[in-house]
Amino acid sequence: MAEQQTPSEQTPKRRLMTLNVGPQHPATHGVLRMKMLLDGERIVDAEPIIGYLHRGSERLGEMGTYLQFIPYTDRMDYLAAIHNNMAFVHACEKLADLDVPPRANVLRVLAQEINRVASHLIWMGTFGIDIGAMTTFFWCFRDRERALRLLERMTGTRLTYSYMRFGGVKHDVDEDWIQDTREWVDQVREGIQELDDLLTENDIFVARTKGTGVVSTEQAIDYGMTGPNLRATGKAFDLRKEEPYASYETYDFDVPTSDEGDVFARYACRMAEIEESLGIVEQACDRWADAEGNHLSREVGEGSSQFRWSPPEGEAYGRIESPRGELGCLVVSDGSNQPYRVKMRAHSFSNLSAISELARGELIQDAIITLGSLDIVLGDIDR
Amino acid sequence: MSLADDVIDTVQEHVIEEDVQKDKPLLVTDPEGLRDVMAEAQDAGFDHLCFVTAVDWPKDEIEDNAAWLGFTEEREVEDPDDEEDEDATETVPVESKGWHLDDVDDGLMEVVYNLYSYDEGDHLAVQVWVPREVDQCSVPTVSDLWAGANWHEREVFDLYGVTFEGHPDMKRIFMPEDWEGHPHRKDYDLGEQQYIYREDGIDKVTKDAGKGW
Repeated sequence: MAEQQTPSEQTPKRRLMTLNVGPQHPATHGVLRMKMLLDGERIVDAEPIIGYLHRGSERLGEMGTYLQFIPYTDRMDYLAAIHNNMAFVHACEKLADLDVPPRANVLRVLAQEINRVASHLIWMGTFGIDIGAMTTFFWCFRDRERALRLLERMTGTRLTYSYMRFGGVKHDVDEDWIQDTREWVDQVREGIQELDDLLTENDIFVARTKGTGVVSTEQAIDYGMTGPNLRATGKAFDLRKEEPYASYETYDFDVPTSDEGDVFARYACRMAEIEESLGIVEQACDRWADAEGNHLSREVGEGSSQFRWSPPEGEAYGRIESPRGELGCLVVSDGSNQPYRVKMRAHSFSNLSAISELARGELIQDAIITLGSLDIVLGDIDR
Repeated sequence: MSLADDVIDTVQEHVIEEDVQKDKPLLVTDPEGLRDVMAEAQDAGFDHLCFVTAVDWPKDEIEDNAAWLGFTEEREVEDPDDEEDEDATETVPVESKGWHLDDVDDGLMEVVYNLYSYDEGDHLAVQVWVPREVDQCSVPTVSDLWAGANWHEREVFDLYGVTFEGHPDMKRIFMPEDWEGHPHRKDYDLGEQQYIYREDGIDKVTKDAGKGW
C-alpha cells in the first residue's frame, strides 16, 4: 500500500512516498513491519515496527516453576533453541553455584555447536533468497535437515528441544550417534565448500554485498550489536573465549573476524564460524567416550527433583554466545519454586535497533539485504 | 583496582549502596545521580550496555523478601526480658536502596542497567529504585549515551510503565499505542482481555469482545 505525501524540501519537484514492507513479507524473516519513506528508490527514513509476535514469555515465566520456563525459551529464538535453553539454565546455575559434570558439558557443547551450524545454514539459505539466489536455499536446507535429524535423535524433537536441565542435559547419546555426527561433519564440510564455490567468487553476489550496509565498530558497540555482526566490523569478541561456559576454554578454535563491516563481511564471518563449529563438534566427539561423570549433576538429579529445583534468593545475569550474539538471561529469585523475574537479553532486539540508521540513504533493495544480513529472529525480538 | 571501583570512587556522592552481585559489582544510585554515574562509567571504559530492564516490587512482595533485599536486619536484643534467652534477635527495619520500608506507599520499581567493558572484561550493574506508582515512576534516559538504550527503554516503558525523561521517542514498542496497563507489572490483570479493532485506518483497543478481535 502506498500513499503520496507532501513534497520534500530538498527536492521540490520530487514527491516522497510511504511504503509499508510487512508485516507479511518474505524479506522480513518473520512478522516485522518496516515503514519506509522513499524518495524514488532511496530511503529517506525507515522505522521498524515490532511486537506482532509478543507473547509475554517473560511474564509467563513468573507463573510457572523454573523447569516449566525452559519450553518457553525454545520458542523465543526458535532457530537456536538450544542456546536459549542454555542461557536460562546458565543464569540459574550461576545463581545457585551449581557445578555441571564434564560429560554434561561435552553434550552441551555438541548440541550447541550443531545448532549453531544449523542456524547459520538457515540464515545463508534465506539470505540467498533475499538476493535472488535460489540454489543456496536448497543446499543449505539439505545440510540443515541432516543437522536437525541429529538433534532429533539427541533431544527427541526437531526444533523446540528443551534439552537443557539444571546441572546437565536431558539424556546422553550413544556410540552410533557419535559416528553419525562425524559423518555429518564431513558432509557439511563438503556442503559449505560447494556454497563457497558458488557465492564467494560469484560476481553478482559480490557486487550486491560488498560495500553495502556498512557498520563501523563504534556504531555496533553504540547499538549493542553482538555476535557475527560485531565481529564483521573487526572486533574479535566471542563470549566462548572471553567468559567461557560449558568448558569452552578447553576447546581449540578461532574467532573469525572481517574488517569491512559490510554485508559480505558478515557473510564471510558466518561461513568461517561454521568451519570452527565443525572443528569443535569433532573435538567434542573425541572426548565423549572418556568424559567423566553423568549427563546430569547428582546434586539435582532427574525427574521430579528437576521440577522442584530452584536457586536461592538473589539476582544473577548469565550470558552465552549464540549464533546471533550475546544472549543473556537475568534471573531474580525470591527463594520460592517460581522465578520472581526472568529477563532475556535478546540479541536480535539490539541488532535490529540499528536498522533505521543503516537503511537511511540506501537504495530499497540494499536495505532489504542489509536487514537480511543482520540475521534477526522475530520470535526473539518480541518474546 | 578494577574499572568498577574507579567509577564508584569517582561518583561517590551518588552512590547509595555498593555490593557484589554474584561475580559483578553492583552500584545503587538515585534518579538524580543516574546520568552522572552512567556518563562517568562510559568515560571510564564501560562501552557496552547489555540491557536495561525493570523488576516490579509491590509493597507486599518487598515485605516478603525484606530480609535478603536488605530492608530488615536481624539484631540481637540488647536487654532481653527473659534472662535465659540471651541470644534472642529481633527484626529491625533498616534503610536499603535509598528507601525505608515505612516511606514506601505502593511499592518500588527496580530499574537495572548492566554494563560491560570490552577492553577490560569488567561488569558493572547499576540499579535505581523509584516509586512504582505510574505518575512517579520515572528515571532519566541514557539513550543519548548509548543508541542501543533507545529500544530497551521503550520496552521497559511499555511493559513496566517506567517513563524515561528526555527520551526522544517515548512510546510503546510491543503493545498497541492505546493499550491499557503495563502487562509485566505484578498487579496487571491477566484475566481481562483487550481486543483490537480498526477505525479510520488506525488500530484501536477495546475491551468489548464483540467490537474487536
